[in-house]
Amino acid sequence: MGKKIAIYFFAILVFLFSAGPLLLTFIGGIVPEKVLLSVPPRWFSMKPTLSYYEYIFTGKVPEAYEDRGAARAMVSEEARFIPRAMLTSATIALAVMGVNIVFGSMAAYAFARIRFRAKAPTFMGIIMCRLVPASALVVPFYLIVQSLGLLNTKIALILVHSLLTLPFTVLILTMFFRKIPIEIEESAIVDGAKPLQVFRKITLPLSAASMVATGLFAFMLSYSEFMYSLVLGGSQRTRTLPIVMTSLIYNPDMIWGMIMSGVFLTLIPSLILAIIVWKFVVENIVLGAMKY
Amino acid sequence: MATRDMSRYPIEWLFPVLIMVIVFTVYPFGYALWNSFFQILLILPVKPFVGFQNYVDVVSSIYFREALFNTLVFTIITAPIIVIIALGVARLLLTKFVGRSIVRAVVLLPWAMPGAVSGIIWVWIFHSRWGVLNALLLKLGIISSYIPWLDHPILAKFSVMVAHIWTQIPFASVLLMAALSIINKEIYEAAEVDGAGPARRLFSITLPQIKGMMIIALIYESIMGLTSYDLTYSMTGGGPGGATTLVSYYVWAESFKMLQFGRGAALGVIVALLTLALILLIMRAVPGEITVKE
Amino acid sequence: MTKPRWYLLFALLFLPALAFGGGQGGGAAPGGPVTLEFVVWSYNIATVQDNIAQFEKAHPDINVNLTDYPWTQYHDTMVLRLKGKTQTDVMYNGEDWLPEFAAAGWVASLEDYFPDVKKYKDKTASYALADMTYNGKLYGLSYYADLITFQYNKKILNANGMAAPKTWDEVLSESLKLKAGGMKNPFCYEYEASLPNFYSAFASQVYGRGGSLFDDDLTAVLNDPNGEAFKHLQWLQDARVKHDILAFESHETKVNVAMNTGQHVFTVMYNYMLAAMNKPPQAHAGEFDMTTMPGKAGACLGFAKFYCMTQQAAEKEAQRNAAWTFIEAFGGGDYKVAKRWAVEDGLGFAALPLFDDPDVQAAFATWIDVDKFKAQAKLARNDVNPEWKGMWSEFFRPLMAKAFVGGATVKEVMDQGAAKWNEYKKLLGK
Repeated sequence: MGKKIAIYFFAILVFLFSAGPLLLTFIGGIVPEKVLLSVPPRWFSMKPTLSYYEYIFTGKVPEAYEDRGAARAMVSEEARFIPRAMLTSATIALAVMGVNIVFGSMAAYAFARIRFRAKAPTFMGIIMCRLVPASALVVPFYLIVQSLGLLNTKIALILVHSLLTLPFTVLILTMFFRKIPIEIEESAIVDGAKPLQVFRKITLPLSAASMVATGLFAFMLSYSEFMYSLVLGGSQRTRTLPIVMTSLIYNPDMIWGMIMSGVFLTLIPSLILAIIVWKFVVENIVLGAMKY
Repeated sequence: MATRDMSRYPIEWLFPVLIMVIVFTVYPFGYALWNSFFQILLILPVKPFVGFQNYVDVVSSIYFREALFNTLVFTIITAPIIVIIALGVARLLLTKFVGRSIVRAVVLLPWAMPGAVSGIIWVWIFHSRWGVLNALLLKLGIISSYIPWLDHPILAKFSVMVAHIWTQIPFASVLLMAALSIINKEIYEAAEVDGAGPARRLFSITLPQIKGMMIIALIYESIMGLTSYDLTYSMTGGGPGGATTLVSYYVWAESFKMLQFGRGAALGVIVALLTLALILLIMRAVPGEITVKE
Repeated sequence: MTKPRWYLLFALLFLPALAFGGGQGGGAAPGGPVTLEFVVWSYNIATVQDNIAQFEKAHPDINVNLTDYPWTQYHDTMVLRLKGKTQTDVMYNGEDWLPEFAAAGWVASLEDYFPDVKKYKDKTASYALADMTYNGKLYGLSYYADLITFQYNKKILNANGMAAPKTWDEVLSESLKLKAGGMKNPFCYEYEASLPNFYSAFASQVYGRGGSLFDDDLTAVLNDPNGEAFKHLQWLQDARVKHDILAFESHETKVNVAMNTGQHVFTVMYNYMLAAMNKPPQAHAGEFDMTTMPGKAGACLGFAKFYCMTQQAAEKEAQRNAAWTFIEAFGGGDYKVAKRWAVEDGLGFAALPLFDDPDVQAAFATWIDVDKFKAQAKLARNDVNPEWKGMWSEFFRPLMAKAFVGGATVKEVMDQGAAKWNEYKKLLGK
């Protein structure tokens, strides 16, 4: 019994810590500006409003701004870019996820199961590129992308983001592949299976959970990446969510409630992905465990 | 260990990853290293070779010591804490309880936020004068006047670390969850039959089994700590009087704000070496299964 | 679904993304309309696009491609972009970057190619003109120009029986009175060493006192203990450490939030922030005003951001003619674009005729005392901006930040600042 209480207590703690700040953004998106930042907070003294969300999707200026006074159009126009930027970011992140899962798993399999010369240096080489801080590599990256003619394209971002995530994907998947009991693979080899078949029919299904989890890592990193999205982009076509949010936050026309509604919106693709992925991962963890 | 007895380089497996890495690592790293030996001041046309002078200048500059200290403290404190908390969270999420799927989904969300955005949320929480945390603590009667979370050097360091930990828990938890789920249940059952209690099971079975993944998590979090920038600077801008300045800011600033590209490159190389040293230390301290010796 | 198939599913997932992702826009049109690459920072892009659309309608032979980067990263991204020689024709430029970019050979002087631009000189506020000039030549026409002013909550101050302070001693005594009445930190200060305007605000306050940080041949005088710069940094240090009247916020947007909680009365910020603070749905909207910068001289800092032509554009005749047409339409002519920014968004302007424009005055009157604004603008001075200003400012600001909190003495900080300035002057000065 004590154990159950401990579990629920811990679960609530974890929930509050993770979700607390996000609940705050939810509140921030619907409480009117006038009372949102009051000290001490008087959030519930005015009716909640959906006007920020309305502005983001339809451009209808919130009523409160129609009041008398100051530069009337001072409503952050940047907020209108949020939906499109969300789509762009999600597209890029999904592609990066795909690249990581496909190519990362292939490389990881080689490291985990194939014996070859120069394995250690190759491995270290792949991991090495994450050691140097990204800001020191911006100039050469920019020049490479420019010479490939890929400035201001989504492909450039997919490429660079994949680069930032592959080393870890390979590292993690190598570890997981090695954990698969060797007997299963050995019996397949005895039966005449070639490496590719072992990979496809044994390794992949058994490590589905970890592969998807790693893919998720790649998605999240790409979705939230800022620096390269900034320097390699610049037009509507490649504007990602982090860029729009940064503009929104530091814009002098900034409205706290607008930022919070924007932030809350950005959580939605991640939430959907998290739910879908978790279902998948959970099913496969159970299945995978039973297979051993 | 199922290995193919080929000493032929398995190029077809590695090709895509390798080509990307070579193009985007070898050349840029070489470029940075090369530049670090020249004095490159953007508004001067000449670029004299200066050997290690850039390195000396950077290390002896007025900001370096404090930023380095802050960055190391930041990394050394947050990385282990993240891994430990993540272990707990991972274990929790594998236990059955009502509402588990909600907690599972929610735990992942901080991950998807860019640093600047997380920063603004945490500023709202920690702000000394209009922050939500202070308001809450005051209302609950725990404090009698607002705490200067972001205005006091040590509290600012603390606040920034808490925010960073919050953003990193999802990744580490997922990693450790996947690792934990692979452990063969029979080992636990056998141990219980032998009378081993939960603590014993944790230290003798769980930890050794997931050691490799914990090391990876620790290494990743160390790298994240050493290169972290967005979150901290959007919360404190470098903190009251330099208390939360980080080396990563200067790697960028030297090149793009001070326009000294040679020095920026040198600082980048220094950080890379530092990261490497930290990683080797971690791997040495806990001999693991990831060194790919055959 | 058999096991291997989902693997293909993932591959299929990302292929369409690669398909969308590819393809690069731009590229020169084969004869016919000239394409201008226009780079701006991300403020009210929709308005910029609308202005561009109107321009393109009036000039069907010019196509404008807009690229934008967030303001906080603009300078750094432009350094990368210009260094990498990505096609850029017209860009927003600022007073502190002009000398750097000009010395690096990235921007071209309008005066050299289009002497016609000189006719705008006497219609431009003096501080703005100085900011757009390098080596005696005019490099641009103004996008907007503004001042760094002393702003305060008039309602709260008056309710406490006080009037706007005229000297820094008064600022202190009024703050102490407010503090005694329960306001913990009456002066909200934008304190953030990584922002260039952390220095500019300081300079503005020094100008109010009638002081200077550098003399006429660019020697540093900020470390003169009898000079106003030194005295003011000391004032700020005492304000924070001794009297505890300063509250720090790390960005102007947060200063806005803080001021609108009613916990502070004084601040020093870009003047357009006054419009932001007075904007309706906020708790204390309408209560704020500006006053002449405290100090003997009452001067403040004025600056200009402007449209600039790149060296790249200047080298091709068609390109540079189009660039000039564009720049003149946006920054000159009848000033209709500048007027739009002023009326709709409260941005200041460099064009002298606009000070007397009735629409502008009416729009400004909703958030500022127009006469006081005009008077302050008359007294405004531009900052000193040699080629090394940006680099020096990066060095000096963290030192200043330390002085504020008592982590270093004013003398140490000023001496180090002066030494570095003189060092740069020796290395890079003429």
